[in-house]
Amino acid sequence: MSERKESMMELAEAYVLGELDATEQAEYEAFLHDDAEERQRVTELRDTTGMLALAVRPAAPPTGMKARILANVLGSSGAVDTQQGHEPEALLEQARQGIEAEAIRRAAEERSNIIQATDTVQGSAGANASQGAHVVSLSDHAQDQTTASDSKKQLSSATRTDSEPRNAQTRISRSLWAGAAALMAAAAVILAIYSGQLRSEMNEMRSNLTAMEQRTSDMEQQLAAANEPAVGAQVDRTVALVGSEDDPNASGMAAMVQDDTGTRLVVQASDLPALSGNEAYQVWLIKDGQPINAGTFLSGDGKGALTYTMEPGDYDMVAITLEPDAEGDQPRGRMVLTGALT
Amino acid sequence: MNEKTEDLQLIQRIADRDAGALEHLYDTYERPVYAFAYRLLNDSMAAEEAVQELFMRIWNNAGRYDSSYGKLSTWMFALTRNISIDMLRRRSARAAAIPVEDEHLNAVLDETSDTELTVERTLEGERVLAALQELGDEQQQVIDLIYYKGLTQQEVSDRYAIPLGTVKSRVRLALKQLHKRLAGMERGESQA
Repeated sequence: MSERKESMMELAEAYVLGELDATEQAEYEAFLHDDAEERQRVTELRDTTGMLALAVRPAAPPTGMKARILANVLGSSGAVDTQQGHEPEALLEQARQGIEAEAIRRAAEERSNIIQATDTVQGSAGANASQGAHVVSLSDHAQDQTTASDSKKQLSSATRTDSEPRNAQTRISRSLWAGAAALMAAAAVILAIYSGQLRSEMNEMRSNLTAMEQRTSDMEQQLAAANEPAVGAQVDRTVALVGSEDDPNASGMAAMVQDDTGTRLVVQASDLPALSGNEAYQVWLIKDGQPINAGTFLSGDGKGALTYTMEPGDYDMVAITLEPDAEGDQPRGRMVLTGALT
Repeated sequence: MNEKTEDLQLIQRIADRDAGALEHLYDTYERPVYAFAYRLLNDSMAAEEAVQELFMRIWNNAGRYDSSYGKLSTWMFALTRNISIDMLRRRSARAAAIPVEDEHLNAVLDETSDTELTVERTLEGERVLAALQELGDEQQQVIDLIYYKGLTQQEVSDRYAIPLGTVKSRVRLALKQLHKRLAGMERGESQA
């Protein structure tokens, strides 16, 4: 056996007992990786030490521990679930159904045990009727006992006949109590799970809130940037807008201006026909025959202007229409000014 | 289907986020892991905390278990022990720890010598306890101090003035003998 192997094997017990520091552990695991025999020995050592856990004095877990732990464990897993593409709600629902089913099963078992136990007691009371009757009658029918004390047999039969409905009553009442207790236990379990679910929902809402806050902050930054004076803005292109047949005098200009915050369309028009009522002028960028709403403006003295932050791209035309109101997102009125961008 | 295959399937379902599988595992191991954590921590709230941490780790890291580690129960008990010992060490770092030097070595396996209690243990637990009790006193002492009380071999050596080499050889011999006596059980064979 090599010296290294010997010194590594010395570490096996400390490794299994979790005593090695990170460096020793890494070194030992590298050795383990290459030595099947040692791996086998370590597995056996682990199983031996693991069994020592079984030798301890039995201890009953605290009441309600299962519901608390499962609610906390399953309720805490929202983030992990999302990562792995599972629905936490579905898992919680599954858990809840499982636990409810278990609670119902236990309640049923409990009820049947109580009925059996009561039957056994009744059976033995019947078998020892002549002795047992006194006990039953003392507790249940003290009055009957005094009046019927002349005949033990009579008393016994009277007590038995009398006590049966009472036993049945007791049985029903015990069953009811057991049922109620089981229901309450089930309710406690469900509440615990539900609180876990609420916690998970709260975590989700918190993360949504964080995301919203992030978005708000991003938008605020964008807004702040938009409010900043442009630095080194450059006109990408300018187009003269020409009045349509109906409005030959109208004229205008469209410019695309680029700066470090983006591309803006700047439109200015003059000698526009006067607006009436709710009418408004609307600017369109047209690409492949599809109009893109670039905003509406109202003119004064036949003059108007507008700016629009646009997606950079190859547009075919810029147009201004006279619309019945300022709310449309598709052209409804007539074309007043146009300028080709191609 | 043997125990190992069942364990692997169960842990795979848990790795796939099957809450029902986690509950099944919980039901199977609640009592032994709680009793073990209680033995290590001697406090029911702390033991519950340890059991919760155990199932939290299993739920989130079930994929890390592979059968080459050993039995699933071995993995779970090892995790329970790590969690509990970490808690013990945090606790003793916070409060002034009771000096271990004051303990009498003869009393270390205190509760395992209480034969009345063996009635309540599982059959497996009884066999392990019997195997433990068959060890020599010195071996029982090191197992108790290290495995159940969470001291390291070095700490046992320092606190009880036993040469480190002696501590190590006692541990090694103790585990070897336990392995010999419990070999059938380790493979998951029924002992009924």
